[in-house]
Amino acid sequence: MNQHILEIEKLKVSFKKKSEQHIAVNEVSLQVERGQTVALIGESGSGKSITSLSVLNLLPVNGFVESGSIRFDGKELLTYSDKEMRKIRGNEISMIFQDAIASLNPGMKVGIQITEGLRYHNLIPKPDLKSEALQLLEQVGFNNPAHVYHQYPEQLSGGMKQRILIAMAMSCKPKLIIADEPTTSLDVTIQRQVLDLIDQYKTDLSASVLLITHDFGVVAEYADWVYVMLGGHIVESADVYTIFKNPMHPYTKALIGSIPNPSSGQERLKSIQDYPLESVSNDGRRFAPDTYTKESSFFDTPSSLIEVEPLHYVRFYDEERKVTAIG
Amino acid sequence: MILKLVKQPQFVIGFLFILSLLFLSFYWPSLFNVNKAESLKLMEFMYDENGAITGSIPFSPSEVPPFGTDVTGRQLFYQILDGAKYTLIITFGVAFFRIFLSVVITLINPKANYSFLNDLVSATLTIPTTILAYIFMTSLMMKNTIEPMGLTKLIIIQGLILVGIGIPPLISTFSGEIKSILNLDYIKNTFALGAKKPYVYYRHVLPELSTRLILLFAQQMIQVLILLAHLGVLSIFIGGAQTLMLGDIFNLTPKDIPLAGEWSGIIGMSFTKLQTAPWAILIPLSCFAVTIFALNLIIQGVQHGVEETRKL
Amino acid sequence: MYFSIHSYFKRLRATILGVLILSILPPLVFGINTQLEPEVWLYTIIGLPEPYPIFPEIYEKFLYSMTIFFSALLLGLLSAMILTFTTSLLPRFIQRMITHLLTILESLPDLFIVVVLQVFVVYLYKQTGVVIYFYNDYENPIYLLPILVLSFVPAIQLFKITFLLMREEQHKSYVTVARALGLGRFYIMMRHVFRNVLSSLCQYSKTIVVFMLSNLFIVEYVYNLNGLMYLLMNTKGGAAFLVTAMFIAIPFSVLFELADNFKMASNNDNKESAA
Repeated sequence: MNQHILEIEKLKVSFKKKSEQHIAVNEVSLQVERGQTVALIGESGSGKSITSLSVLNLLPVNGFVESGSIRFDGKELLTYSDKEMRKIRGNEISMIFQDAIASLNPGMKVGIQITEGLRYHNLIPKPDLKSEALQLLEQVGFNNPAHVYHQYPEQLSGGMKQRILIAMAMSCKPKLIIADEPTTSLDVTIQRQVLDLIDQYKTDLSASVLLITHDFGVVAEYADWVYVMLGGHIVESADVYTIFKNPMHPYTKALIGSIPNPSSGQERLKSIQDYPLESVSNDGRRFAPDTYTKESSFFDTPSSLIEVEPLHYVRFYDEERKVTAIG
Repeated sequence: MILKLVKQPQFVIGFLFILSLLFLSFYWPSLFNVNKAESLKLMEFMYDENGAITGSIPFSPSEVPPFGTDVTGRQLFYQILDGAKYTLIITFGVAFFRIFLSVVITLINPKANYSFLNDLVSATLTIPTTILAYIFMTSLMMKNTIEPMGLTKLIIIQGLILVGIGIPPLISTFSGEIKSILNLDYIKNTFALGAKKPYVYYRHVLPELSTRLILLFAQQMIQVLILLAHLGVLSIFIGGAQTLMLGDIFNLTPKDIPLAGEWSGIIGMSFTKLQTAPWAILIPLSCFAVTIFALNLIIQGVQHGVEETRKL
Repeated sequence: MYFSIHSYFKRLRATILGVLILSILPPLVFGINTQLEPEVWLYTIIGLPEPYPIFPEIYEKFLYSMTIFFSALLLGLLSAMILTFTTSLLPRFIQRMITHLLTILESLPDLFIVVVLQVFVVYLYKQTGVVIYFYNDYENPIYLLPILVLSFVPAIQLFKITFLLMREEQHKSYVTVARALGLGRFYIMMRHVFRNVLSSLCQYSKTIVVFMLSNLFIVEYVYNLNGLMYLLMNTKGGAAFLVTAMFIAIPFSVLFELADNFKMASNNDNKESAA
């Protein structure tokens, strides 16, 4: 049996906008091991959501996969037809979306929505659907499932809706859950509750989680392995301890530096722009201030992921300097 | 705003169409190099070179190209061209005064609660406006036959009826609209900063309303056009009618001929002869349809423009 | 279930007042009485010498007009639904063509459609000998043609509205969620999108009904049908107008009240959640 449940290799996704082609995800490779939580971290627009959507073949109409491969459980998903994909979606891979408020049908009772996947895939007999829904509701922490079952989404709060979405995602007992910024639209007090739920599910069913986020605090607590994404590239990847102990890429450093730390006694939090251009001093690991102003043109220059220490990969844009860096 | 509208192809096409129709309508005698009186006169029979009668009214479009004649034997093509200006000006004027008066009335006391008016309006919406207009117009006509009034006065009163029928629903629309604008955060903010009322209405409320006004104006024009067509069928002519005796000596029949040559008059005049001369009705009706289409294009253009500004 | 007697009585009062004002306004404005009949319940049809009483025939006319109206509404709704459904399964460029076509169809005045159909029926008779009655016989009223004509305009309007709503609805994120659950396109369309579109359609019901009533009048006038609207026109104001107008205004005000309550109920739900 394959050690990795999900393997993405050199995935390239483009968007077409009025005959202009725009690359959103550029040669991204990542693996999710069985029973692990893998975090994909990056700023908005870095391509992390697009990567996750292309796994389920749910890209918007003008987006398409140019090249690469996505293997789930050893099966190549990109060659699957829509009908075959439907059996995968929900059943084996399910997704939790970030906008909980808009992600539920306003005109349908939540209890019925939860078991839609089960009903459609004919996983359990119809008379059992209601009891299954009640059980799921209880599982995601509702004290009065029978009451919630009959409510419409408008009558629930944001956190409750996100929990309903998690219940929906869990309903078919998938082996992999993709959580696309599940806590972004929630208040801080509920974030933890939601993430714990996902973590609980992972340990209970020894499933895997691909956690997409821009919050290093969340990563530190829940992830086993981290991929840092910037401008459609993966710029650094390592296990969570290495990343925090020894971040190499300036972008990663900046992200970690932006976690508030009361003990360090800083007056002001550092923002991304506070990090100086490090193209020279850091041996070609170019990043930041100039990339924010000069568009992404320099991402087109050749670059490669280099293993700087065992299982710690960093992207270098300058072929000449990488040798000295590993040196 | 106007610059953005010019960039909308639909808006430009619709607008240009109506403008050129208006232009043609005023200058067609010189453009086609024909005598206006000559081309609009009645012709009862058609003669060949030898002076023998080859046909009698009404002539179909194949006999008298391009549109044939109506039941009184007037060339439909020139009639429609000539009538376009009356139709368009009446429609424009009625729609304009409807909007203008209702905005003024609403702005006199914008916070008024018109709830009673709203109730009345929604209660009487079920009675078709055509019937309302018809009832008012017949009363007017009856008065006109008892004590005749001048043509101008008649037209003005008819216009007032058409305007008045549309005002109550518009007031209830506008009062709701203005109330929701006054509730916008930035307006509240302006008041909180101490702005005077007239200033706020002039600087903020009216510009906010302006796109709505253009849309409503075009919609009102469509409604007036449809109302005019309906009234034409009911033989209510703007500007009244003149009764002519038509037919041969043994079979004289009175026939109401509308005085102003606008399109609904053409329809109404021929309506009873629908089976003998369907073109005399279908062609003016298609003209109504094309004009409404042009107005719909304008509406679409405005809506697109608004959507684009929202996206930016 | 949200029906409140109080608000209905308020609306009823407004309806009666409104119709009353309309019926006395023309003589008031012009200072002459158009009601030339000696008895208030009488009305005349132009071209016929004798006046007719409005009772008891008004009941029959009421039934006839309402049958035509509601069958047309149902037919229009049904055909709009079927059309929306089939077009939403078609490829995109055809959908775009259909929206353009709809703008053209929408621009046709109701009168145009009425007249074209009548001319067409006569043409059909002349060509093939097939008879479709379009003029009313006093004994056997016609139904087929007026219903067809009357359903045309609401069908187009409803089709356009549902089509636009549907497109809007399909881009909402709950559809993506449903797809991520592995539900089929057709299933999502049926169970999610369509249901929501239907409920938001209620907002437009009033406009469409008002528009259709105006069409009903033109259909009755042109086809010479013995209906309520034709009667209303011939009463020319006064007491007969008042009674006939009530026959139209009261039933529809009940319907509007129900629709408004439904709207309010769903709005309240939204507000609760926002609070």
